[in-house]
Amino acid sequence: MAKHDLSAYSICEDAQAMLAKANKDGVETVWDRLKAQEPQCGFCELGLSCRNCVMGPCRIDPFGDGPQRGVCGADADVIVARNFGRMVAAGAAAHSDHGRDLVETLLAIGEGSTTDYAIRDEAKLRRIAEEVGLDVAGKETKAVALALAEQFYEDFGSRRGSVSFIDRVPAKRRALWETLGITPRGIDREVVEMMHRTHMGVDNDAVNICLHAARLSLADGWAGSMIATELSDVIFGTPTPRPSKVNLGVLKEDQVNILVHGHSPIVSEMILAAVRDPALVAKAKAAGASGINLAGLCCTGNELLMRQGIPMAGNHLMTELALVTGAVEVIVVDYQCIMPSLVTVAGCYHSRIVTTSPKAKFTGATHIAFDTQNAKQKAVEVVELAIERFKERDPARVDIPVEPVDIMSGFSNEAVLTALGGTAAPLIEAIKAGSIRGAVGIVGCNNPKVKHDYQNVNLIRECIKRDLLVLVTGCVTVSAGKQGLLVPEAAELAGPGLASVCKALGIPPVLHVGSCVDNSRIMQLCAMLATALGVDISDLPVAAAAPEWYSEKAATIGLYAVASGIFTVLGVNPPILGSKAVTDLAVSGLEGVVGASFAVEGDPVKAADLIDARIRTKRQALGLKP
Amino acid sequence: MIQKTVIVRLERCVGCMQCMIRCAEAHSQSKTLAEAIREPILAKPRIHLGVGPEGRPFPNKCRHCEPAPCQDACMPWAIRDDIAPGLKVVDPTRCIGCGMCAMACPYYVIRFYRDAGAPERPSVAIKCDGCHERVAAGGIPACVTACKTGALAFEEVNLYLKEGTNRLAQAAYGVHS
Amino acid sequence: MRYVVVGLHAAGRSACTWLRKVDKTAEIIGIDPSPQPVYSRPLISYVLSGELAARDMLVAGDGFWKEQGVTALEDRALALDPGRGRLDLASGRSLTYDRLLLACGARPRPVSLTGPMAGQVCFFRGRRDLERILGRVRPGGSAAVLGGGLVGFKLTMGFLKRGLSVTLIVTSPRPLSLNVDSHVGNWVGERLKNTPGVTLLTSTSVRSVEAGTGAPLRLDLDSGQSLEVDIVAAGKGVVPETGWLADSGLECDYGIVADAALRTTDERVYVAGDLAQAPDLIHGDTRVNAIWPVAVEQGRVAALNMAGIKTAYAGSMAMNAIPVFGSKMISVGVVNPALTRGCDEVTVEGRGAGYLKLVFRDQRLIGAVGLDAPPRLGELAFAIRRGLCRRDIPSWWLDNPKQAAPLAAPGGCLARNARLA
Repeated sequence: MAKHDLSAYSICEDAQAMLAKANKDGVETVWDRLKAQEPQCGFCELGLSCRNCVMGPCRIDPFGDGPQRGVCGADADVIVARNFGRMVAAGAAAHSDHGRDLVETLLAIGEGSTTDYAIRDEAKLRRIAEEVGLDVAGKETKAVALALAEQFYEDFGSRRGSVSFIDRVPAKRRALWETLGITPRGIDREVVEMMHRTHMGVDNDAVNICLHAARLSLADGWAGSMIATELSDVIFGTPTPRPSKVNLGVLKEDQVNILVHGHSPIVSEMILAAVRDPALVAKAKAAGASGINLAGLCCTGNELLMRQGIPMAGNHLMTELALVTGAVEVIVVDYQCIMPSLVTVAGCYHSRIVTTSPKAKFTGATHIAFDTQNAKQKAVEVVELAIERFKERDPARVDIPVEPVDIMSGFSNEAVLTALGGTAAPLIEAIKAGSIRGAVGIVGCNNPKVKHDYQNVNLIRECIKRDLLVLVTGCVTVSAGKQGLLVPEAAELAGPGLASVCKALGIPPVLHVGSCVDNSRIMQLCAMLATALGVDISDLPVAAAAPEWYSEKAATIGLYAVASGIFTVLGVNPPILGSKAVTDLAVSGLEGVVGASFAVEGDPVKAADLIDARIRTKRQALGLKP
Repeated sequence: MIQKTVIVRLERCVGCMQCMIRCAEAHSQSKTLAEAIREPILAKPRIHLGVGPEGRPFPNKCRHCEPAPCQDACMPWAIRDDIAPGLKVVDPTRCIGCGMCAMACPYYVIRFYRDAGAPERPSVAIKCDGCHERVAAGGIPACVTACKTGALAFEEVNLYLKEGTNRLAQAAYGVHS
Repeated sequence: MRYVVVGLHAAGRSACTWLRKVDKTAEIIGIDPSPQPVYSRPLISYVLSGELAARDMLVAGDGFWKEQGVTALEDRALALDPGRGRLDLASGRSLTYDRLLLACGARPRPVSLTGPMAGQVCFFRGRRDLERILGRVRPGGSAAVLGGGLVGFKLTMGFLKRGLSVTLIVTSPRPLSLNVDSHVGNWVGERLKNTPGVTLLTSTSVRSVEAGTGAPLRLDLDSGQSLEVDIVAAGKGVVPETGWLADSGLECDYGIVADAALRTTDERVYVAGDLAQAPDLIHGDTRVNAIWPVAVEQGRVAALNMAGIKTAYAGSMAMNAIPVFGSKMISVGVVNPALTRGCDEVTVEGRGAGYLKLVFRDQRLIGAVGLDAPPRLGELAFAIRRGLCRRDIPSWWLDNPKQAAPLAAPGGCLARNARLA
């Protein structure tokens, strides 16, 4: 890493300290690899390259002289749309496959084939089952679980032709989707159809591909991810507000440090149970540690934080740097967002990467296969490995550079409603009165192309200044938490209206609602508000932003937000700019189709201005003062 | 100061055309790709990929000859060597688009397009300017920055020839690299 | 060391610049009837057509000669005594020199016609000719152009752009007969015939110019026809200005004869540009090739040799590039059919790549002519210089002219048969 101002890479003290240490320890980071890749392929940046078949690979020259069509005859619009369609398919597949694993776990519970997993929120199990039309009166828990699992399995298929949670969507929005032909039919079906459509010689109309992409994303947001969220609550407990801590300071110099990384609580909850096992704690002490410390990275960290108050060590760009502290014995992962470089970085220290899923193996990592029958036992193995690793730790290479920061987490919709007294009415009143002018979901990842956490945090600051309640998920949670925005004291930084509401309720102006699948909570909240007000989601004074997104999943989430009627600002260019037609559709055309659109703006103030303008317009249309 | 020049190692070219797209970007008004492709007068690349036998790629750009046949042929003195030392740079405000330079050039590196530097002319001579503004600001030519295989490098030519001498030495002793 | 350069246009300016480059301290004196403004003569056709304003012909400011360290005398050379090393000027002054460069160029060839208005025929060489013509041009007027070469063609198109109707009178059966092959010549002829406002008369010449009745001038043609026009302009080639050197003792043929160092028969006197009859690359003898790039190159080579830097002149070659009817027409080397009898010709008409003809003599490339293929011909000029053999041009090059890599690529076709001159 070049020796220059490390504050250019991140706004976080712990990141800057670990970047310096990585330099000293000779560890290659994601920033080094980005630099080596730069400048990246201009054709691919614009979405103008296609590798779908071996008549290619093809590229379109955006400067007009070179080829204007691929070998098959596809032009820039078709190539960009096909590429974007596959991006959305991959994103939806990831979150929805995560949802499918929750369904499998519920099934195992229902069939009685697992003792490691059980229902923690029985009331929610029954509530959801009733909601989706199952008859639960008088039935045993296991039977309800079984029936619900079967119900949700059908969401993935082609037979039923509809998703279970469709009735959560406000009537006006559902009618619009029907008219457009984008009502989601089945999760796997939409993904498979997108792969089919984007094969050479199938769908060659950019708008048609984009409409299916919208449908596909809705199958993620209102089915795949929503199922993941709801079943995670059912199995592992519905989050309630609780304190915790965030940043690399959550690592403990005198303890065995285990980090969970990846996505699903299916693995991380088991690891949690194991680290609390007295026998293992004793082993750790025997090895010279004062205890076993568990902390989280990324989404699975979000899951443990929301439900269990387990602290978070960092977000996407912190995952390598956590290892650079020299204090991490094991990072145990399931799937998604785990950089393969972690294996190499771990190899520079005494650390190990442990993989658990047959879907996500990493060459050089230690594989300990988890399933619903052996999870607890395998978790014990993971912790034992960590204890062994602790003995190999070199104290001279340990540097935990900061003290942890306090945060508040656990704002599931259920918790929010409880905090409001049982209904959304107080929130709606606050919105009407203008003390909360609107709500913004600021979600998504980090991207080394932009200064770590800079756009996430500053957009949040700008929004709360304008009396906009902010909901955060995923990596943005950590961005916000590290800067002290996830505590009630942050109300000091909010505008007067929002500040007064927060102080009255004792909540932060920025609410952590969960992991990335939990963006479905935001969808559900919007649906509830819209239904209560008798309007469509696109009439609400709400917006969304993914200021530092990197992943295909974020593209899908952005699209399901827009398709649901929520204006979404992306802070990093999507690879569609090579097609004027697709770009115009995304940033303006969709307005006339689904009542919302995208904007691409990285600068936090400008992005906040765009959001504010949107909120203003919506408020005026509702007859509220802007 | 010894002048550097763009050296082409033909055997490393994979024909990805990144040099072309970044050259055009570097000569646009906005200098960023997403905006450059929307400008009313599109910038054009000054380096081109020829297609050789069996589709083998050939990156081709101005050699900044001295003396330069294009400069000799240019009647309005639009090809100037007083803009950047060692480089022959077309001044689009003087170019009349007659094509004599392209005719005189043995390397097929001059093309004719409408250019934002002289928007009233239907077309002017467009050729490599050595990215002299970038280099003067401490950078290197855009094509070299873009090339990920090392087919294009910005070096002192004698160093390149020294490498070649060493390769020859290896070959002379029967060692093939 | 004193260098004297007679004539300060293409060859003279090039020579002065290079003399100063290689000799920072020598005295350089330039002589020209009008050293200022520093302009480029060929641009007059662009001003005539309206594409350029008159001021756009300037290529340097009034301080140019001073910046080069050249003393520019507004004077004319009258006589040369090489034995004494003395040049006599019209002002009465005389100059001695250590090295002398004769670059006083050529003048338009007179037209052989009679009549009281014969003196009204305008030529098209420099800015004074341009001013004379522009003084007579008016939209809706009529013009006659004599001569089917490149100057005649440019005059025709220029008058047309100015809104005049034009009659182009050509003594050959088709226009551009000396410059291109019959295919391109006929193509141009057809386009001219189909251009509104243009009348093309081939195999015709003018006998006399009389005063007209409806228009200022009346041309009587050898066909018996007459036509009345506002203005007559002629482009019938140029004649090197050797007259004043007739008694100098220098070998003089059509132009002043020069060797491969561009030296005359006097070792201290050199010649460059339209005045020079220098080694011709293709014909193997000495010829005058009165075109701009040749003059500039000869100016440089002569200057270097004058300064003691041995520089061989490989030989001149005809080459031209002009836009014709939206296409770019190029010719290089020998393509005149009168001169290419017995040569092999290969014609390439590629998909959307225009027309290209290559002329070979004894297997070596000696000429090329094309429509819409300018870049190809640049490398072909180079290939002609290097004596490219026919067998070394790969078939794929001819099959795919738009995409093919240059012939001059390293390790390519030229490598196998470079003429080691």
